[in-house]
Amino acid sequence: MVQTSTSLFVYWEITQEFLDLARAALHEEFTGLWLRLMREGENGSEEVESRFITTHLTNGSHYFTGKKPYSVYFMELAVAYHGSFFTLLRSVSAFLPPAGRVEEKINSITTSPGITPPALPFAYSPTNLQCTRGE
Amino acid sequence: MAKGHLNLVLHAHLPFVYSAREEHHLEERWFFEAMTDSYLPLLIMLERLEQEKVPYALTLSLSPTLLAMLEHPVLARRYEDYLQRLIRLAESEVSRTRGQELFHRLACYYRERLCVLHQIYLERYHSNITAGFASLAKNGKLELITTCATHGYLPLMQTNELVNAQIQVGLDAFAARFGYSPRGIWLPECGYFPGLDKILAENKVEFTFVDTHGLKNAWPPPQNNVYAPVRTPAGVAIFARDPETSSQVWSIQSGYPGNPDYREYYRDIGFDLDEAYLQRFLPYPVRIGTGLKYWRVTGNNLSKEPYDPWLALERAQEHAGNFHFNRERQIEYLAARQAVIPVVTAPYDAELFGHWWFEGPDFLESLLRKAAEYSDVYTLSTPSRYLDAYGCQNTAELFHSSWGEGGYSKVWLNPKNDWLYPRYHQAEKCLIRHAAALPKPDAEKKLLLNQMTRELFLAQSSDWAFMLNAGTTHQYATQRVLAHLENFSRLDTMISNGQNCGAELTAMEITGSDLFPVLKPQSFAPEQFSVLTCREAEPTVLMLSWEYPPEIMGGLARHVEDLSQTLAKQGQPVAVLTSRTGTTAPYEQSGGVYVYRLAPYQKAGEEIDFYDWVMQLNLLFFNLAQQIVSANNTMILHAHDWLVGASALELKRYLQLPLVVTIHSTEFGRNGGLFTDLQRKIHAQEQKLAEGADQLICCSNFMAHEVSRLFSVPLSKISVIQNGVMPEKVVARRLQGEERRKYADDKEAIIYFVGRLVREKGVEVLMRALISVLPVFPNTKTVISGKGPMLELLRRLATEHDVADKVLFTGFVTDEERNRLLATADITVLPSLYEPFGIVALEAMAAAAPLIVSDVGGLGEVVRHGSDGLKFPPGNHLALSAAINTLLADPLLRERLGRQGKERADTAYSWQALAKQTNQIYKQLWEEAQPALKAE
Repeated sequence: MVQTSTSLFVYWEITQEFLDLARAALHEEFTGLWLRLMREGENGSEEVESRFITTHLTNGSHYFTGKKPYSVYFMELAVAYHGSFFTLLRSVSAFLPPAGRVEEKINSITTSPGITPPALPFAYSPTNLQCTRGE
Repeated sequence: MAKGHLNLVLHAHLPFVYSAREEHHLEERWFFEAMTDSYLPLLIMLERLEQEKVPYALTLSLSPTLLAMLEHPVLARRYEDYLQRLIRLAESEVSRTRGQELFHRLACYYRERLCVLHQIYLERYHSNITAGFASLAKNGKLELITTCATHGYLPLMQTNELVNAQIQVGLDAFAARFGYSPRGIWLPECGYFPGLDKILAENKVEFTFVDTHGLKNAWPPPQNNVYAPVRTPAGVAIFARDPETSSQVWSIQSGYPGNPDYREYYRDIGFDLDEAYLQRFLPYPVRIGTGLKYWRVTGNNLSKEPYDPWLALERAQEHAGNFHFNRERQIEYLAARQAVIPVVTAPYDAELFGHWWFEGPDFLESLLRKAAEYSDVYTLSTPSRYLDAYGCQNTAELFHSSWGEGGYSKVWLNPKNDWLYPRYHQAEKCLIRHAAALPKPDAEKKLLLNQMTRELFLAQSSDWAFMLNAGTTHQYATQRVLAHLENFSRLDTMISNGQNCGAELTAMEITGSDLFPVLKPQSFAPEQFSVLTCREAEPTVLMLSWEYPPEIMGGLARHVEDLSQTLAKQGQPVAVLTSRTGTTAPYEQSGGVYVYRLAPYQKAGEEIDFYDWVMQLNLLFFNLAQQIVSANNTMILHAHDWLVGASALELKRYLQLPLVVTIHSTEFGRNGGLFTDLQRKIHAQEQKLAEGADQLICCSNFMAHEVSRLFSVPLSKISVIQNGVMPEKVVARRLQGEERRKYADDKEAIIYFVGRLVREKGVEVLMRALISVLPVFPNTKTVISGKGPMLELLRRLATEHDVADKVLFTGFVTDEERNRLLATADITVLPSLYEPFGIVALEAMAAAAPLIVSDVGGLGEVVRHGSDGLKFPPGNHLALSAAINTLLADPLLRERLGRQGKERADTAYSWQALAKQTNQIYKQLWEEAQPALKAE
């Protein structure tokens, strides 16, 4: 999932049965899962980041940050196998949009420290920098 | 004539906060406050302009959840009660502040204001202000649009179906209220993602809005910056927010609302005065804002001075003049530089005007009046008016954007709220499945399905993720999401278990039925979905086969296709999971069979070896099969060959389902032994599969004995069901003239072979036999169709035996071409060394082709020597050449064998009979499994 023009969010859920099947099918012992971020290019895909996760972590999520706008990424859940990786799951591709928005905040118009009433969900309380809708 | 236009757009939205259970639900106050501060004042202001015939133009987006609350009779009653309480509080304040002139005047001001609002609400609008907006929209000055059903943030939804649903239901709700469809839509949080335009266009949406960078970053870059709409490839016009107008209202440096004379939002008597005093008027257990605020912004510190509404009004008018002046300069500047008439689009949340910026409606009124009065530089417009007048000059593709902090999805997706998405996504898929499964639900199911839709929609409101991110009222947001998803889950269980609607549903409906009273979840589910959704009365058979037409590697694909389609015709629901290596559809319904095609992630032979590729395919099968099984009450697994064995066995173990396995051939038989590690691995898989199956099927007695012997399984566990043939798929027109000359001269007789070019098919034997045939019948051409690892060896052999010019290798041929060759050939030869069955023999017989086969395995059982064809000992090329010579010399014999072979294929090998036998096995296993399943 695209979070910003340079960051992606991924979550995964696999069952123990699925892992058992992978383990049995590959006739290999493996000790953990790898989360691999792949970038699509003209000549196929390349790994740009990987993280080791234990096999106990059958559910999880992760943010990949500092990535390139205008690029297509996908994530793989893999096991190390025969010196390479065997892919268990692959996400759909996500295109990181151009980085066009300056990360500025139009901050508080007024400053009213002290009692802050519970704001409406749509009250863009500029005081506490929550003017995120329509900034 | 005006040089340009200003599009003022207000977006009014609140999450659905009505509570059926609590008379004084704390969060309903959000709605009441917005009514008092923003919606009513804005409507009254617009009506005043209308009465005075001021030619204003404004776009107002009313969200479906807000519309539902504006029209809700219980909320209307509660709002009136709320107003009355505030009036009593204001009256008390008038008394309390006597002697404090400034505050007393303010208390009187509030009392007067609230009384007027109360009176107008009841007497002019009869407790429903939407009619007021509808009336204003009739003359075209006010353009009403809407947004998605519950303001779900579209870029983070998983399925296009739910994106479409949010849009479609939002538009329908608007049309149901106003009697027409809006031309435009407000995207929740201006959230756009590539491809959204197509869904909008399908819903006949003509225009929408994005944030500044959403258009600036488009490709190709827009020629007119954000000052003219562009059209997306799907045809939707996109207007983008002008940063300058946005900044003038919101900026800390230059934003108007921060002016010291304006009312201070954060100082409210609800927090300043004695709690006991306040509770005499307010029914809530906690301190809340009352809207009675006595202080002005003053400065950036705690020290505040009393508010003067008359001074603030002057300031609002002054600021409107400044805003108007700036637009004139801006539009003059733009008009001088761009060929297209510029339009400045200034969208804001409606609640900004009044609720937060108390003087906002005054500012707006003054601006609308000034723009109408001084219209020589620019005029006010609406998106529809602008598009009707000028259209869109450029087309561009847009990328992901929103108007949230940072410009993308960070506000709605971060560690504070990312836990929402796995839950949302799971529910999305579940709803689509049910909606597709029930294209014509009965009344009970309809209620359940509609409520499921409401619950998911309500959970999806972007407000919850926003609140979780902001940290304000996050407990309420959490509780709302979890409650809706829990309701959703209960309804899912009720539908899945065939339960009736009960009190539970009624309770949920009370909360939600006023929201989207007319829902048609079927309309946003894909027309052709899948067996995932079909709760068939019969146990559904889930077949696993690595090949299925049009991906054909050997006879297995056609076998599975013919069997599954015949079973489906006989009323037995069948789903097939198979591999996808080409561009075939990932899902289709073909011949009544649900076919799912899955492509392993990594490429066989390049990234991983074939065996691992097969295992990856099995993992994909396992995942999808779990979903299919969970969506169906009953299921029998039917696996074909070792390639799907891993997933079949794991599914049987995990899901406790009966497993039927057809072993079409064995690795030992194919290779005449086990010589490599790979062969031994495959053999081990076959062994496990044979042992794990509840019932084995083999296509010939030969195979049954081989399987029994190799895997030590009793013959009683093996049923012999031969392959069948569908004559209509085989019979074809003979090749004539030029068509035939592609293969052989007119004088040449054709000897035909079709099959994989592997050792076990015995093509080498045929090549040797030709040495003895050609001297006797030189006018013959042997045509060999198929591909495989032995191709080069066979070519070399043809050259070595000096028969190369009499042998034609066609490579892979299509089914149609193969059928025509079978119909044309004078003799078809199948010289297999190992053949569990030999489906090609049946197909040749069905095509009335004179046939010579080796007397091996299933081939020997299919063909009766001298009756349906001729047989020769496997591997004996001399015997084969004798048989060929016999047939070439005797046209009458060829004709008789072909005719009799066809008669037999048509009758004894009909798929109808064979499918019935297979179905008997399913039924028997299913009945045996019932007690065990019930015990589970």
